[in-house]
Amino acid sequence: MVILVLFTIGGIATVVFLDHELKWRVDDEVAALKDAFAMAGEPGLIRAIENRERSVYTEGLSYRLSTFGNQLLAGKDFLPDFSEDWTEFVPPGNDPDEVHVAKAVRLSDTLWLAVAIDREQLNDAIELLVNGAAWTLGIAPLLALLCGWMMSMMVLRRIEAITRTTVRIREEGLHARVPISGSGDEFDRLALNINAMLDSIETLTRNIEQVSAGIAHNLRSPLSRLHNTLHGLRQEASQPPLLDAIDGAAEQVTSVLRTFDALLRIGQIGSGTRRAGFRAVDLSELLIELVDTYEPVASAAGKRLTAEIAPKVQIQGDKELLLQMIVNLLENAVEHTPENTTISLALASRSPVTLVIADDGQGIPEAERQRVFERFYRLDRSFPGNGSGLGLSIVQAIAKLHGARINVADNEPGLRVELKF
Amino acid sequence: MKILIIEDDDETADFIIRGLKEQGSVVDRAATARDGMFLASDGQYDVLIVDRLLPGMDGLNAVKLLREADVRTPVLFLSALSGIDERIRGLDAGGDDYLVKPFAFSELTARLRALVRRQPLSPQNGPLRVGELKLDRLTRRVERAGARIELQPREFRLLEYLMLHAGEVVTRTMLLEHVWDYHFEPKTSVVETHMSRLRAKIDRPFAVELIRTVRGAGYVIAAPT
Repeated sequence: MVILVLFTIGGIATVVFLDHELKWRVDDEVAALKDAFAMAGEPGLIRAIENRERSVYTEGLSYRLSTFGNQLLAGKDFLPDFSEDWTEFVPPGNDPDEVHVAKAVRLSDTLWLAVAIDREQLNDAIELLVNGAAWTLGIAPLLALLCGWMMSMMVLRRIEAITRTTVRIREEGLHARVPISGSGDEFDRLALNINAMLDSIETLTRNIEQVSAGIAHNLRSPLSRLHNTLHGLRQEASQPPLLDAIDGAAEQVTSVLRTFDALLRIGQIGSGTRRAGFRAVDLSELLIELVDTYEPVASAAGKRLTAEIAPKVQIQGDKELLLQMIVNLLENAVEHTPENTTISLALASRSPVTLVIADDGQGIPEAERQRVFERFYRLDRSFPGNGSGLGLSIVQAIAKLHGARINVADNEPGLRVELKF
Repeated sequence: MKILIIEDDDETADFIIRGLKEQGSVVDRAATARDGMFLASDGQYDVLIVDRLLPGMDGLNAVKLLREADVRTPVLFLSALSGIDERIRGLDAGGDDYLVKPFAFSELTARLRALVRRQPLSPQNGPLRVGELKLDRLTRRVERAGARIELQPREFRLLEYLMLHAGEVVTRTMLLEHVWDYHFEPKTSVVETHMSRLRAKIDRPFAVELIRTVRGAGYVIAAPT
């Protein structure tokens, strides 16, 4: 609306200005011819008029030099009679819209001069202006919409890139970075800052991982030697109390070593290097073999293991790690449930591929369900167990490596662990 | 058995040498990969024990070079690296088995015997016999004293592995690796459970036990003498 008003005002101003411009040209011509008459008299004036009529610079201009007896001396005779004011007229034989504007001046007692200009130029200009305005007004909104759309697409694409990066970080770890367009704009600066932040977070976590892996590695060698020494001692010792003490000590060393191995393993899995070896793994086949192995184990412990496995379910992954993940969950269910518990294993082929390991045992209080994945977390501290408290941390690391989501829920009664790949 | 051990750590080497000598083996030791390769190159040993991490040259490369030089002596890698990929790397380099330090000595000796005995046995597909027990690897038929015994596939593989190493102790870990392809320590008694099921079918109805538990070491199947 504002644009329309501005256009109208601008248009009117232009028309008024052009109108004045036309009249100034006529005034200038009149003044110039008056000068020619003053300098060279009547013959000079006639020459000047004839010259002008031939010139291309005087297009649209017409002249009339007459006596007061209306005898034409030079120029054209269609111009109206003498009048010192501006006169509008249509030359005979022309279209009614081809209006001319004329002005006359008295040169001497017997001579008068008239100069006229075709207003068609002005009409052309107005027409151009109106047409131009119409086109501009018509196209401008479209152009504006197009530009707006492109701008928002650009902005959205940049935001989308940041979102994608954060999703990748959540799913695959801290390696991903926000792409930089190189234009140095606000988004680039935001991306650079986010990336710098990710760099420092990654360095910090890597330091922690290196320290724990380093501790685990550097403590392994002396512990291994201790283990060997104990075995050497055992071969030389003969009294039963000493033998028992040595066996007990060896058992403790083994359990510490097992914990270190588990920590190292979590670090290795977390580093994501195993992803390079991902292949198609037949989950159905893997589970059928697992049930085959663990059904007798469960029944020896006074529990039932049932399975409902959809055939030929394949995912991309690391077979050995997937096996360990499911074994850890299954063994947890076998170990931490009372007798007569039914443990069920279900694999559904729908997307996403879902694996459920559930039991009807005593379950886990809601407040503790997420904490079970923490390292060294033990739900039942009175339960001695031979585990390191790291089994479920390994499960979580393996699930994360495979981009799987773990959900721990109430099986009403019991525990239900859901893995969505 | 004539054994070469390539190990830079004196303590580990002593521990192994002492134990193996007590069992009547002849043991040589090299502290570097270079010396070890020189000693091993004429193929005089029954088995090589190679530490994975050696000063100068890696144990993996040493074994690779030996294999390229057509030395086919079985190799058991020893390693402090318990990593998931390490075992695969060791086997890819031409190793035949992989044992993570520390290990029980019985584990080492069981594996060494399995390696030394392996070659003449593995290519055959013929029936295996231990006393009156017969296992046909082609028809997958098992019978004892002429009576057919029905086994689950897993029980069949367990018995097959025991019979392939008849007279030798096989450890829990060896069974997990070869019968289940599990390369981790299960918390539950997987091996024990399946073993007791197998024994219920193979031994319980008969007067003489063929499968024996060796305390602190593993299991052995042997014909009664």
